[in-house]
Amino acid sequence: MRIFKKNILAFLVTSLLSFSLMAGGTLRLDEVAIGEADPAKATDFADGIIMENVYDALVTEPQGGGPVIGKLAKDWEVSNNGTTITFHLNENVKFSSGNNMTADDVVYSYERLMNLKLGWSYLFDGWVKGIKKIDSNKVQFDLNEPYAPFMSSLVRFYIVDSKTLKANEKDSDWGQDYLLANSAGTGAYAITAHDPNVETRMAKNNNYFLGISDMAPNEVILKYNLDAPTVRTLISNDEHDISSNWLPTDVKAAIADSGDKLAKVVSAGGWYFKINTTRAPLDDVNCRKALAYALDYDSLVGTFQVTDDIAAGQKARGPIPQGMIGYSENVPLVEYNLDKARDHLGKCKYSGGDLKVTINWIAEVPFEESWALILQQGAMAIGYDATVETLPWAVFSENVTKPETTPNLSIVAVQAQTPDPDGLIYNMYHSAAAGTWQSAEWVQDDKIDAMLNAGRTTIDGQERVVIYENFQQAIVDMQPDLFISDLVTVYAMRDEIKAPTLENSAEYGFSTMAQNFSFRLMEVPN
Amino acid sequence: MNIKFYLLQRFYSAVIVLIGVSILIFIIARIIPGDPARMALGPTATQEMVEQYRDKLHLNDPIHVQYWFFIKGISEGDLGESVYTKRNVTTDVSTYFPATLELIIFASLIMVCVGVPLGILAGRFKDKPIDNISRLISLLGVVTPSFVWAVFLMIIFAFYLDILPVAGRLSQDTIAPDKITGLIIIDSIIRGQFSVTADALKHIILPALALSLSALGQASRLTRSNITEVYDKQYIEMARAYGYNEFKIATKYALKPAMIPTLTILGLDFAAMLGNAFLVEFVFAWPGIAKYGVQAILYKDLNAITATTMIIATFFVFTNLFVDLIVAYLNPKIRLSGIQ
Repeated sequence: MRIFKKNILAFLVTSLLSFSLMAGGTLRLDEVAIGEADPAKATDFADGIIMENVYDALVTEPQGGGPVIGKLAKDWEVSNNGTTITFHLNENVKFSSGNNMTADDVVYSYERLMNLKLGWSYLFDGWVKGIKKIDSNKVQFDLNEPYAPFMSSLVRFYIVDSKTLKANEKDSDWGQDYLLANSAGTGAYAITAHDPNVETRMAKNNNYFLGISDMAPNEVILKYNLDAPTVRTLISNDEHDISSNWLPTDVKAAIADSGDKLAKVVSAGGWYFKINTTRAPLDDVNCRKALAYALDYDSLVGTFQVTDDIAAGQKARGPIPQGMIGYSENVPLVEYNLDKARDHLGKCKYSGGDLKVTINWIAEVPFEESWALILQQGAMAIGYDATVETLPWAVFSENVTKPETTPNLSIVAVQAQTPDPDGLIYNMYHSAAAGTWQSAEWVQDDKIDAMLNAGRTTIDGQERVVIYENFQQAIVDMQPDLFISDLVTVYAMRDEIKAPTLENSAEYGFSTMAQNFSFRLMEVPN
Repeated sequence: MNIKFYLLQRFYSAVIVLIGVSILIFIIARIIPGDPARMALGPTATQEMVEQYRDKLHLNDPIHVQYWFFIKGISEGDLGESVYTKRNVTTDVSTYFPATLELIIFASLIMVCVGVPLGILAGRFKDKPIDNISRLISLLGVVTPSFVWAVFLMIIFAFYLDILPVAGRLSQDTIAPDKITGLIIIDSIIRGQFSVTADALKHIILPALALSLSALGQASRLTRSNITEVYDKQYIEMARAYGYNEFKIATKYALKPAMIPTLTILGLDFAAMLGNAFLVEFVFAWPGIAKYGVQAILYKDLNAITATTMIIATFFVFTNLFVDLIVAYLNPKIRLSGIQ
């Protein structure tokens, strides 16, 4: 009897131990503030991390890339002219409140987004005529005209729990006050505490409709605005798991040296020297081309190197990064060549004292200074009088609202808002989008506008590929930017963490901003 | 009667100063480049969205109308919406201010409890080894910025020795006590959650020490200099001649007159810590008002900038008032000269 009891006890202890070893622990990571928890307001990277885990959209991008696939929608039908899309919703999907997700929630979420007119609402504004419930599991979107990026834009349309928000409305606020500290989604995680300037805590939803691994973190703490030495110390003390991309290169290298690891993710976006094409002397394409050949790309690439194996950048061919529709290997890489640079400068209508330019870098991003200095060196070698200046972000974003105050050259990173090229390049180059930090080139060119409009209204996939390849070439010929690098992000991680979406993003990752931080696909030991 | 009049006079000046500061900061905040609505909504927001948000924030109204809305809001306890956190600024302030207040109270305790005795010892044993050590500590404290101390202390006590925590007010698994004052150490003591108190104390040591070292050096130097001066006075010689012991001389006859100028500086240092805490809060991920205020400036969050600045100004004014009252109590001559 005693032996039996001992065996039972041993079995229970072993089971408990193995259960605790199998259960996911707490994942701790950091990002730049703020973390917006309301899906009708979220647009930034930290917001994206919250959205991807707490809410679901009708469709999503498949791991490894490709056309969107269903998520909350199991399938859909598109009318012949492409203006009516009917979604069949997955049944038995529940919100974290326990309420069932139905067509009413989809309609409410859309009305909420468009009434608040914040966040991603601009993706649908002017394109969607209306949304209606067909039955409890079917909704129909009617578009004003064919809009090819519509399906990709839907990855940013998060469905909220209408019953919970209606029950918590204050002064017809669409539940905004409630969502300041709570969540109302179907996601794999639910918010348990939220301070947009300090941290967001999320707990695992074990009933998630797509399933969730036992080893996925039970709790996630997303901290905001941690200083580099703090992150370094926390990771070294096993008190932090994944750093943000903004950790200085040498700190990432030090973390890698001390036995932890780095994860490199190639994202849909790029780093650009944005050239104000309306101000002399860079309103002349040859003056711009001269700078493109005077930029020492090898030195530039050297600044990306974190370790011998990992570089936080890769040479870009043009505005559309590798892996996105429209990227073309046929567009040649521009090489550093001072002779060619001088040739182009000779063809420029400006010369001598007229060749004055200012290269601006953003004060909050100190590593940009070295890039500005590399360009300055090349520009001065061919006869430019180039000055390097720093601008705080607030001043820069104010200056770019008018062509006459937009700097000659400014360094900016832009990331695609959706998996479609339109989500990256429309906001940079279309005349209708001019006057923001993304569009500091002031391209305002009818031919470019026409191509971007065609890219939006052409439904046929192959035709769109051709349009965007031609666009890529047209922009490279026009040279409104010097293309520094495709956007490559590098995260320092504790060695025990498994995150295939970050560590092997080409195979398992997503190009949609922040989607690689899907916690349910990670493993965190307890 | 005199003290009442003195108090009224000081209170009246404080109100005038605060009204002046509110107008000044309201205008300066609006001169900083950048459109707060555009910065809040991002580059992809349509112009219509931006205009709608500007209307909501009254940014399209003339500045005097905006100021009217601001004053009206204050009178109703509503500081407006923060474009940075999208919450009411009143919520932000009530969340972050107690964290900074707790930090500077603790830093001030270190400043007073270490800096003043160090100065007394140095003054009493002028030009002796203890004086030289004290001067060295003071000098290092004064010339080294707080954020350097912060990183230095973090490297030693958190990175290499790993004996003190590096970030936040509590460990990740510790649940904060229900809010009474917002000062976790006080609240946890009131609620009898002493394990939380211990955890909070461990977390506050490094940031408070980093923040206090500069002021500590200043307090020590000033105390030393005043004590030295007082020890040269004849009445101290007289006390010695009467055979009083050194402790009684130091505490009863030397310290009181020596502390008057020191107190004024201690008061100023205490108030200044509120503004200086930013980098220390940043390094130790301390969720305080100083860090929030700087973020608000970077985002051109007008309501948050105005609220944070007003809090710092109010804190300065009332700390000064409080210190002046203590000084006036210690030295009635100052009070009388103020009335005249």
